[in-house]
Amino acid sequence: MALFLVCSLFLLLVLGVPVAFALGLVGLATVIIFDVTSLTQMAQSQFANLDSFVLLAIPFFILAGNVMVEGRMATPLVDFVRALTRPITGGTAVGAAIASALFGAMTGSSAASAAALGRVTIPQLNRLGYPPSFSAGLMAAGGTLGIMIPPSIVFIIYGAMAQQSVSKLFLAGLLPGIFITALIAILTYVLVRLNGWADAGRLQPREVAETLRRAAPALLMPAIVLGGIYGGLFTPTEAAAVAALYGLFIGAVVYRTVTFKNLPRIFANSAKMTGVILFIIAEALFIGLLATLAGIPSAIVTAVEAANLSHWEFLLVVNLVLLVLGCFLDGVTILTVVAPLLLPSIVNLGIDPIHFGVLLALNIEIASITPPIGINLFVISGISDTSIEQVIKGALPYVLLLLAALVVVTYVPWFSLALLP
Amino acid sequence: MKAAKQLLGWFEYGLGGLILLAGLVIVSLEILGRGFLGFSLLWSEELSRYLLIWIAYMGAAAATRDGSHIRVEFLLHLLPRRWAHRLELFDTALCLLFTLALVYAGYLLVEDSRFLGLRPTDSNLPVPIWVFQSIVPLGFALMSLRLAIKLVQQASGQEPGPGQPGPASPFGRES
Repeated sequence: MALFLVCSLFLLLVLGVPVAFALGLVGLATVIIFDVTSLTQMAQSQFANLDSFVLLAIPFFILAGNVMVEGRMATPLVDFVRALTRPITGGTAVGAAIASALFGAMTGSSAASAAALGRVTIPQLNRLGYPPSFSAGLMAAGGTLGIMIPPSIVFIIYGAMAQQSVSKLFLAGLLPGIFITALIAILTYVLVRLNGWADAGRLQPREVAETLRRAAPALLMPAIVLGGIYGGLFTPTEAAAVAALYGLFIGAVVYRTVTFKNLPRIFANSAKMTGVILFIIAEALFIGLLATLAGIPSAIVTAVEAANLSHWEFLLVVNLVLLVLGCFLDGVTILTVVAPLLLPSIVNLGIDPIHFGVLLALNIEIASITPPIGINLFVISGISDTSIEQVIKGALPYVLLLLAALVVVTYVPWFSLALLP
Repeated sequence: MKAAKQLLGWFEYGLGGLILLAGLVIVSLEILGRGFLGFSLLWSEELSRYLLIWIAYMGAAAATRDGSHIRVEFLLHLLPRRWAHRLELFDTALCLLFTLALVYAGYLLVEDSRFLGLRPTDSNLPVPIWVFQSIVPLGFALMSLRLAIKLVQQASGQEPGPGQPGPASPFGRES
């Protein structure tokens, strides 16, 4: 049964059957062939697997993100950061990296928010004479920051699958998120200096004040979300609802970019994007149950014990496996199908599951900008008239940077655990 | 026929969006009530969880309509056009097989719950649980319908191939 599960799933995925349907088909076939549970039970799991208040945060964060995207709230943010970074050589590029991190702190982060930001910054950068491949690569990499920086949908999914506290995971992602943002900003600065792309100006206090006034309502969003969660005011799910409401409010009243006319589209598309993710989760949880019945996770535990790997050797192997899988699978699939198989081994070796969640998030960041199927590469290529090869070329230095960051974050658990109580 | 298709599109897209709105209202009411007005709705958490399941499957149906489910398109891009087209047909047929089986399984589930008279477990919601569970057969039926339409279109060569954009949603494209 274990062999059947793994092989048939692999085959269906390669054939291009959409992930959720592939998982469902394998589950259905297993139920029929091996008679492990009934059809009614399978239908029941379609319902019960999603019966979770934690997962309810996903549609709300998606909604908040879509409101910010449709409300074009990336623009005031980019303008403000740019006003601040103006005196630095390559200030616009460095500012774009920092704006990516800030936007990540406002949205649950998805390819859609990477696209929204790229649409504002890439034309700006290209006008200033940066090579298109550099601008596109930078924004593809910057778009991954939101995966680590709270609030993050990746952490909500992991929290629900691994029964870990989402607020702890959010907190754990904060330092690594800041660390990686700093690395990306520094690398950007270095690249600008090395290539002699000039773009420097003077700090203009009036411009800073002016742009801050425009950006302030949007900048309050992360304060409300994170402050609300850690001030004990609301649960992550409620914080997500508040984020969506606040976004709708400032979009309608302050920026006047969200109108009644685009509300139906925002809600309908958010429901659709939720469906794409939750359908995979529902099917993956059922497959996870079958995998446990087939003894796959415990077989991995035994294999790891037999190999007598130390902590760091095991994490190295796990990272390598995730990196290879990340070239072909998307983040949600890695998170819902692969991670549960590894969790028992993680716990058995005494590795903190929260730390493992942070490693997964970083691996997913890398996966979304590695060819052949890194989603951010395609999204950025699509919105910027840059060929996919050019985006890949521009993103390459950042892929190497994230790999270096992965080594650091893996072997210095302090980054993920320092802020936890 | 065209009107029926349009109506189906509105239903798939609109219902998910509306339920998302309802969920947002319920959770907001609960926060307001608890934080400022000193009341708590006993049923709000359980109801909002069930609404989430409805959003998920209605959303999955909408995503089936415009082909936005996540998939590995690697092989489809490698194969010559004719074979890619055949593989696409085969994939759609497999998906349809799964969703049809789940319509039947979902029907069994709803019948079971009705027969046993099951009620929500965590609160006093005055609605039997099969009403909420009916999203399983309903959601998969909508997906089946859409996949069947797709299969016919693909077989007659009308459907855009992989990599080309699908139809716009009745509410317009995402920006």
